[in-house]
Amino acid sequence: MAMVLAVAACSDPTQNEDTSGSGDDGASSGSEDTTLNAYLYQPPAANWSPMAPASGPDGVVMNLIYDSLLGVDPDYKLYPRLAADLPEISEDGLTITYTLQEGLTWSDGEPFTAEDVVFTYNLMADPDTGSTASGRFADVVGGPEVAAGTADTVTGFTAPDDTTFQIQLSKPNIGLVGLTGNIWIVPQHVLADVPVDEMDTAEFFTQSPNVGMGPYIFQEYATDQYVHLVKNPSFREGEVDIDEIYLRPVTSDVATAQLGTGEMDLVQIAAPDLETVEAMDGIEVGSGPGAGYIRTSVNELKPYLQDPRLRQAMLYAVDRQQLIDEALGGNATPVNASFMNDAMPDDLETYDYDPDKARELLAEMNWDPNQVVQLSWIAGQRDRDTAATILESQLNEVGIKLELNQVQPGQLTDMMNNQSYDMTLYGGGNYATEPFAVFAINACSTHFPAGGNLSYWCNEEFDQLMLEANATVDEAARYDLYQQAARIENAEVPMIYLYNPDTIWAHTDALKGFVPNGDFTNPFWNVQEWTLER
Amino acid sequence: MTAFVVRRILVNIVVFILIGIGVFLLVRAAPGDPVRMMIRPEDMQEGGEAFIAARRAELGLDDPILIQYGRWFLDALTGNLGDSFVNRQPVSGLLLKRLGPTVLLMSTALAISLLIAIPLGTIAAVRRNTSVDYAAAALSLGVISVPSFFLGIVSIYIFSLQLGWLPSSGMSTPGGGGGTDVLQHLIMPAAILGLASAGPLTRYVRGSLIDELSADYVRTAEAKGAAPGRVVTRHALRNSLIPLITIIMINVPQMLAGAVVLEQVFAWPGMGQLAVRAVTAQDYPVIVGFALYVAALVLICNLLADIAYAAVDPRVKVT
Repeated sequence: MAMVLAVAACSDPTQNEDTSGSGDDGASSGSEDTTLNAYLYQPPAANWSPMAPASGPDGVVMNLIYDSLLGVDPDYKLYPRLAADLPEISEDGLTITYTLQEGLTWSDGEPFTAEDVVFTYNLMADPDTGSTASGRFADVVGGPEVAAGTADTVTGFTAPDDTTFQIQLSKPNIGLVGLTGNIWIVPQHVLADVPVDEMDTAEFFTQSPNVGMGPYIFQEYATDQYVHLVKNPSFREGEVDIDEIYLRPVTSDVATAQLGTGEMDLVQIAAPDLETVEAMDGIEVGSGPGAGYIRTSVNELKPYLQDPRLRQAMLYAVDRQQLIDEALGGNATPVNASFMNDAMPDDLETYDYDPDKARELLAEMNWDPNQVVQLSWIAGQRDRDTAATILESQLNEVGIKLELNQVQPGQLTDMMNNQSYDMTLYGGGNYATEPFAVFAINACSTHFPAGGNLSYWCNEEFDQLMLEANATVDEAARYDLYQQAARIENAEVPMIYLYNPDTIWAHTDALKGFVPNGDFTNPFWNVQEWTLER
Repeated sequence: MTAFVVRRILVNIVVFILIGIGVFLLVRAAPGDPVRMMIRPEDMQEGGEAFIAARRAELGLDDPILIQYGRWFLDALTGNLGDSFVNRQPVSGLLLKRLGPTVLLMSTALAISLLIAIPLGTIAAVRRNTSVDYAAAALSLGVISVPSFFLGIVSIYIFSLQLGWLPSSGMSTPGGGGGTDVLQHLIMPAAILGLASAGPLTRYVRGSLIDELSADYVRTAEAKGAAPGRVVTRHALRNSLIPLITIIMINVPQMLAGAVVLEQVFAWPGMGQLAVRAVTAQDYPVIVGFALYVAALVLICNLLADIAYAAVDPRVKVT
């Protein structure tokens, strides 16, 4: 395929017949309808409910048709969208107050009010709607009752007036803002009569989510072929410039090739294709760091995996920069803690490649070189497969017998349920915006299945610092506590941190205003500033 | 004959039900848990168990498997194959939406493969052991050995990227459309799928025709002075096509397997994509629905082959 792309890159992008009907090379006037064709990395599951289980491609669509109180910019900072500003948090940390922008209307012309927000947040807190997020509202007054099915609405969600939305907490939880501010708001006037337990099959969500606050309006989903969106004339920032968007799920190879023919305007590309795409005429490339990272959890329930020196040795033994260069063409950053951005202190141990140090640590702890350690992972993603083989060879080199074990997703779930694996390689997570998000993968109380702690690591001091930080209103003090927690995590190495991959975008140079976002489900975060000049 | 057909249909219905039970049990015996796969481990804290409990109850996964099967079977009798676990839409609707594109792709491919295989096989048989025969053999061996996804990628490169003649993916142009548009999108995947099955078919036509050509009645006809071309087309070819009916019918499920792969390459909105996604997400109802669809296809094809065979060849005993 690399060859195919290379030749495609050399061909003149204008010589081919353009099947999208929008590929004139000449600068056409801005008065004509402009259509953007963008790549979707998988066909959507086609349930566009904010409560539905997280699905990346559906998230791309929802980011265009719905809006949220807050957004996350490419630096992973929160910024106001439907809200007029970031929320105010009371001194005791128990009240979060959002002030909404005034005079906003839904795409069908109905007024948008704080009642819509209360309605949506109630749906999110209720597992009967299919919501997987009900646990996030455990600290909201009345949240646990709704999650348990003993109450219908969360008393802690209120709308004192049309432009104010308030959340009352039973205990301070500052992280709630980062974890729930970007919930997509759905229209109460359309959905009010749908019974709560039928919300996940509501026609609005599965067939035609055509009323929203987002920059675009859902038009049509041609099964497995494309999602057609048209601009929302009532968008809060005024009409957007590009009239129509087609999101098209094709294979990554085909999408990259179509970039060269002009059939595709915006594509997320894989690192190995970067060189080819950079050689294409009229194509610009940009990237941003992802919000999570690739890691290997080490099951500390196994006696032979409990000594932190073993995990430190593993980190020293792996040349992560080589791994990044080999598997991702350099498009990633080595990681040394789960924390990111401001929560990350600058004095962390960097565990630079040092196999001698690894051997020293292993000798010190009397590591048994005959002890086999098995790494189980779901094969099929190029960079992770390479990571697994590099781990195998480099750990073997220092005297850790690593054995590779490819499994199916279902098998891995079973291994997680039985806590039977030694090590498992996986990725994802969103830890860049809200540092408290790492509590779910590191705390004593979040051992899988009660949370995402797949290392079964437990450090009470760490937990205490995290909880204290999440209850601290003062920002400087809060981040200081997070940094202390990060130091503990960094020293104890509950997981073998590998790398934070960049998300790479390529687009036609006719597209102006595009700002690459590391969150690959949100390339359109500033679509209102885009123009397509051709 | 009617009794024969009725009996075969009844047998097939029983087989179909047994396949349904088998698939239902097998899918559930696979490792993993579809409900746990819906929720990210990070979201499991505190409320996660509530979600899992609510979802299990809603999907009926808490009941004993026999009760689950019974409920599913009774629903299935009314045409209701349940809802997809993932997007909560009815399985029959999801399958039906993709049935059209898959049938269109497969029937066009079948027509193409016959248009290639019958003339090519006939020529190869009549001019047996000549360079034409060898060329046909090499050609059919070639298309059998090259995987269709590779042919797909190469033809996208040649016809879409280099020549710009044909669209590279999908079934219709976004925003455009119409019959000729679909036809343009259909050409490449159907031709490749047709070519792939034309290979073995050509070999069958050739072999079967050679058998007929050495049969006594052919030699008799030739001895009586019938024109050679007439003997081949009117007598031998007609008889040799009888076993071909069976071969084609048996070939259809294989073709479906090829279609699943090509649908991925060409983003053709058929069954293939749906099936692959259902398997990765452990979407039980969709997997079972898809398997039943394939089973029905195989059974119907076999049934048609039997009936057609009995109808055209009186030597087949109808019992």
